[in-house]
Amino acid sequence: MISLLFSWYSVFLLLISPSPVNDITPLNSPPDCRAKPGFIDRINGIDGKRAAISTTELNINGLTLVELEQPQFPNSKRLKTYQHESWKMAGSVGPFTIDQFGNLYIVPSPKVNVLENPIKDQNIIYVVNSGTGIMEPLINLPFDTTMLKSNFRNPFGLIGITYDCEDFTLFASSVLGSTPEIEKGMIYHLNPFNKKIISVMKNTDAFGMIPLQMGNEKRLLYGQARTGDVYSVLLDAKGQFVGQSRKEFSLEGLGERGDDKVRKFKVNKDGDLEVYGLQFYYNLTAPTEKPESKYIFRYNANTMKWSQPEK
Amino acid sequence: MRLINKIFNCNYHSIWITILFSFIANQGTGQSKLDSLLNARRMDIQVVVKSSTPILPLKLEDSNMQTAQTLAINNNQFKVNCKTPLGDPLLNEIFGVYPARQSDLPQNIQQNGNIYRVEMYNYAYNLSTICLVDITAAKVFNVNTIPHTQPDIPDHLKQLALEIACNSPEVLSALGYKPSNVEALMSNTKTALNRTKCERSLHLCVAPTFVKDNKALWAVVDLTDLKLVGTRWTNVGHSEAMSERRVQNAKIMECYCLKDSLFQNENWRFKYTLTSSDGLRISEAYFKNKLVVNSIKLVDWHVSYSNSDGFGYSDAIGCPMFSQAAVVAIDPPRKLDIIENGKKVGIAIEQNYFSEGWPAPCNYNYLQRFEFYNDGRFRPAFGSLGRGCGNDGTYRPVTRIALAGDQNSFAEWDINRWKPWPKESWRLQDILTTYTNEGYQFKISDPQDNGYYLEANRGQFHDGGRGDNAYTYVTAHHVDKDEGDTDLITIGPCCNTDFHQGPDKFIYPNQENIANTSLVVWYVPQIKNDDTPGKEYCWAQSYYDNGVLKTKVFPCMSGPMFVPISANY
Repeated sequence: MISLLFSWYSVFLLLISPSPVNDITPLNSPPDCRAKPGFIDRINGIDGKRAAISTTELNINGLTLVELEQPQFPNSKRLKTYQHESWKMAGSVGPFTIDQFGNLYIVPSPKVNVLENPIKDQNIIYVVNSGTGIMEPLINLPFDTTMLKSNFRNPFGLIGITYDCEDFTLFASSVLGSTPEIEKGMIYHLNPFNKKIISVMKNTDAFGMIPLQMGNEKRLLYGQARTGDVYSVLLDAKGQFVGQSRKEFSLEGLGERGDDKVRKFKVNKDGDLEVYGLQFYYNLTAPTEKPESKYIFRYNANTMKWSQPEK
Repeated sequence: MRLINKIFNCNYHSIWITILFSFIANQGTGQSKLDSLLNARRMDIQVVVKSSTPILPLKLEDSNMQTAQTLAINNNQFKVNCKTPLGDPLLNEIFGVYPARQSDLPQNIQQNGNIYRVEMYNYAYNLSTICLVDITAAKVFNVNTIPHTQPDIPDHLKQLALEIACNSPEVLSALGYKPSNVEALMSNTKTALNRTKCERSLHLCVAPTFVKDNKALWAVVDLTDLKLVGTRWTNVGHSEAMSERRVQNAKIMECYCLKDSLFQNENWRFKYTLTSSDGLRISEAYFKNKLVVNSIKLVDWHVSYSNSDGFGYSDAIGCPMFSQAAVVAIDPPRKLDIIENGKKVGIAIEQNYFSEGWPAPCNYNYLQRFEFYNDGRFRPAFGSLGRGCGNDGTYRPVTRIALAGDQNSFAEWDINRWKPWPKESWRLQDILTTYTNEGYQFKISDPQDNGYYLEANRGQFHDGGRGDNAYTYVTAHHVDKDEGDTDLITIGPCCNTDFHQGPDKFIYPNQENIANTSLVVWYVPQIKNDDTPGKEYCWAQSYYDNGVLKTKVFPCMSGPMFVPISANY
């Protein structure tokens, strides 16, 4: 387990690979098809090779492009910052993902307060067009609007998003309407190009997600937002969620804090699963209070069991 | 899935803990044993931190192990974290001395029977230092420091944790009887320790666990502060790890966020609840059976920093989970007696809100304090305990006070008379403000002249406050329009320095008449922090006491006093 010194928002700051990567891994995650957004190299005054996308810049609300003094260190000194006027429309923003064309999909996420993040807008996925760099709403994912009235305790809607490079679809997780007593979250599987929702899993508060080929099944792995448990659900050939979720492994009791929830998954070059965890209690405590840890899990397809490899 | 299990006896308040604890202390031999252990422990600590090497050694029978321990304690590299860079002693303790296993040794060294592994814990930095000692060669090697880890705890600390848990009134209350030490299933294995973390305080914690009727009661014990942190029931076999944060959050949620609590004495009766984003809310407050306040709460903390234009935070305070709070409650509300001249003159209820990194920079600790006096006065007070992001900060807490009565009018003292306000408005307390001889600035009264004077804070309340320089707003209360009766979302931005603090939204553009109606008073003090030595205000400073980190606070208390116009009110 490796401690990261920067906050969970800071780690959304992602240096964009200049070219798509095609890793074949023991976990057989879909190939990484992400392409560098085209607008990055077209912004005057920003060196595209040093540019990074940030969701947490001091005194700036919304998406920002920053030019880093040391591109390999996301928290290094900012030489320049740039924000297109449209990048403020979502208020404070959280996780994002990128498709094979460099289009960037991002979800709103209130930070510290809800001044710019009204709950009614927290189920909107926004897209930043790779070519123009303009942000606009992609889709307002459907939810029971009666939740808005009773939902004043929980300020969050969408909290997770990931792109499936195999079938070019999006998975988005929302906890809008969830209360301490009732889990009302949903996982949406959708096509971002025709804006059609392929499948919805109800009554599930999920945080980080990743589609994986496990044995001969394609499954969506997701971290629960309420516990450190990681579950998976089967996806059929049409991308529909099928059957009950099954528990895969858990972060419960692990790491420096012992109560981390999974924010993000990533398959590394060894074919192991990198699991990024932090505390999440459905409140707006400042990101600086939420250090993040990385955990490594290895999957044995024969036994269908997970283990933590020796360091 | 339910996040909160109904697991607490919420009628069990901390104020009674002291009483029951005292009772048991006089009755039970278990408590006497605990007192004896605690006293001995504190004495050991006081002595060792005053010594040149602040390391509590382990009592060992084996002479080889003693030698290994002595060699380690005398090694400069091993004891490098025993003091701060400024020379303040830090509490360290040897937790274990073991014959090294081959797997503990570097590949080029064979265990010859004389190599020992020595493990030490640093309470101030929450880190472990581990070394290998060859007692034949009198050599210490492979010294490793591992932050945020604790070695397996020694038996005497295990026994101390058991005594603390078994004599805790909370454990007694939960189980319904006093357990014996052998009933606790604590194992001092790594697994048990991993499942028991004090991730907020970064203290050494363990969790003795008691099983009753297929349920397990976890008692999280803090061995740095030598106290019980909290308890929680789980089903046996439940996978959720217990920790300081989890037991604290769960108790606050179940007992104070998801239901009202009632306070009642011979003078006052009111409900109190922790809200999602408006702090502790007092509602339906009766003085001698007359309803005087509909509700009081703290809507926002606006914090701005003058050296950076537009930099600051708009913080909500409230429940630790499922809330819009940026700074959350981690301990239950406290009920206190107000004593003046040795006599009880009222009661106070206090609630703190806490950033987990406090008092490190850019972390906050806020205090709400409601005072209710036997003569009918009441005061909503609030303060910052620092430390924030700089010494150029101004705090502007926004408090909403909805007074009872639907025939109220509002007046301001104007040199020598009460001047009524016909419409909703606001006023800044400044050097031109005039007060009555008693110090009253405003009056809220019904046609029979029953009601309250508002006594502005000018530093006369003996709580260290230096005056409020406050904005006061008055708005009409509507039963058919929610202007803050329910939880308010963030009402204003961090950094406005004028009257645009949020309540103005309910005044403009259409100022309503406010004569003979139901009124809401909004009070927004402006408090500048100060880190000047000797003049600290809204500030906090860390220091070392008995080898562990403590915090000295310099609160800046604010808030007006409401004084009944008539003694019979």
